[in-house]
Amino acid sequence: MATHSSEGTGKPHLSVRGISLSFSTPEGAIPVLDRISFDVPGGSWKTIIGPSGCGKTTLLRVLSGLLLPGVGSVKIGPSGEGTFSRAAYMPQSDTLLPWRTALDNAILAAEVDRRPLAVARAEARALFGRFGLERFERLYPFQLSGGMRQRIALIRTFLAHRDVLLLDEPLGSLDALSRVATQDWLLSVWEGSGKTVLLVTHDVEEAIVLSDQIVLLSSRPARVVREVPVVASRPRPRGGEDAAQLKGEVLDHLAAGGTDA
Amino acid sequence: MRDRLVRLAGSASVVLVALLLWEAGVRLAHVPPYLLPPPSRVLATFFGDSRLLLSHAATTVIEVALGLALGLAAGVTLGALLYHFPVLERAISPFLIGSQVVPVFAVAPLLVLWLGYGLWPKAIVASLIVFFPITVNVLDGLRSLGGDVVDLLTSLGATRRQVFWLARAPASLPFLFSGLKVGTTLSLVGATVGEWVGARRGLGFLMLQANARMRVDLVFAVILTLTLLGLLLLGGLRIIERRTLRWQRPGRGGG
Repeated sequence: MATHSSEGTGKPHLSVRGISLSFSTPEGAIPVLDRISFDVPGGSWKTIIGPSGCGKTTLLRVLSGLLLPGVGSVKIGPSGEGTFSRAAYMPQSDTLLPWRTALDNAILAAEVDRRPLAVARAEARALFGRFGLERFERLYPFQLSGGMRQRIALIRTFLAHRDVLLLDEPLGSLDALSRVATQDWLLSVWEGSGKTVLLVTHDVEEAIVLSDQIVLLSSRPARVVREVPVVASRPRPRGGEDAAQLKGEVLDHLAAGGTDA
Repeated sequence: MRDRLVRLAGSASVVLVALLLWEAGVRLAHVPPYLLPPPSRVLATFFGDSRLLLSHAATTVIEVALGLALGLAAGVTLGALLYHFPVLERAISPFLIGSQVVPVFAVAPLLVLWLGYGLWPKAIVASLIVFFPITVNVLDGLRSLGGDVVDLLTSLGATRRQVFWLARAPASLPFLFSGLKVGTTLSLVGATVGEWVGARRGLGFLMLQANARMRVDLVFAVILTLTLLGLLLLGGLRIIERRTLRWQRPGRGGG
């Protein structure tokens, strides 16, 4: 998995520069994103947290190339060339195609890219095997639980062979128990993959357990208010002392509506 | 499974009671058999003349199959065209809906005049009826795909054509089957009426012949054959549907 992620000197680095975006409505333009800039160092994990409705999903849609920003640029890679085609986007719902089996859903990107399907299937099977999902390969989405569907969608995102993963609240629909289990699982898939991850979540604990850095956004229009590093080494205990303090800080920020500086 | 058995037993007893009432009524009131034969007589004719019925049924089945194939091809093509060219839809849809007001059976004599007494006029009448529900359902089906799936595929770099074949077309399949189910029943009606207008073979032809000779028992036997044929076609379609749409939650889109 690590072979195709590094290119040139270092792992692909995501840099976001001065992204602004407004939605035009009959009543006039509504600013949603306000000069957003940050970097995600290659191979690291960054998580975006902000008040609900602040434009997190809009930001990810811009980064994945589905929306054109009014101003600003997105660059991926050490050399900075090439942008959207190198990120894999995972939307909030699992969006598995109901007529494809779990395995065939996992290789969707290979089919879009016209890569040889036998190779893609073998690769997917290996990943299913590694995570004990073999018996789900031939099942259709309606036969899978919510947590399992989310895992298949995450595997699909990994198998897109993109350097950067953009995950929009991938665990938002899960109950607390399967959420924790899927977080651990997600971490184990990511570790050693060399992928650069940008995650959007509203779950502070999730951000602290998973990421290297946390970006706090203000309420709409979203601005970057603070960047908080998470230094503890993984695996991190849930509810540890450092984590509790960090969680307090982030929650204070959210409670203030993201207006502090 | 038990529920199904209970339901089946219920339906069967309704039919049985109706037949018994019919039999008793006809016998007690001494209704002449050239007006209304008792069901026992109809069944005797159905089994006694089964070779005759089968050979005419074969013709009707071929007409229905041709009509379904034509209507399916035309319906899917038109549905896909209308999906791709909304301008075309705006231009054509008044005529499309208008065409459904024209009684297709009124066109049948013309088709016989132009195409003779063979299979084709009947197949075309059947297909004219079939294509409309299929067109409408295919168009709805192609439009049923959620925006989240389109977003996902677009973010992976899929072209419009890839979105169509990877997602839109398969998403429209359940709709296509709904259209086909409506179409199959109607195609049988279309073929029979086509045979009434002018034919040398087929169940509709046999029915008119029997009627003219006051063989009402044979008329009923033909109706029974047509009914069984319709059930058989629907059953076959249901099996194909279930195999094709294995990915659907069972119990959804059944009926």
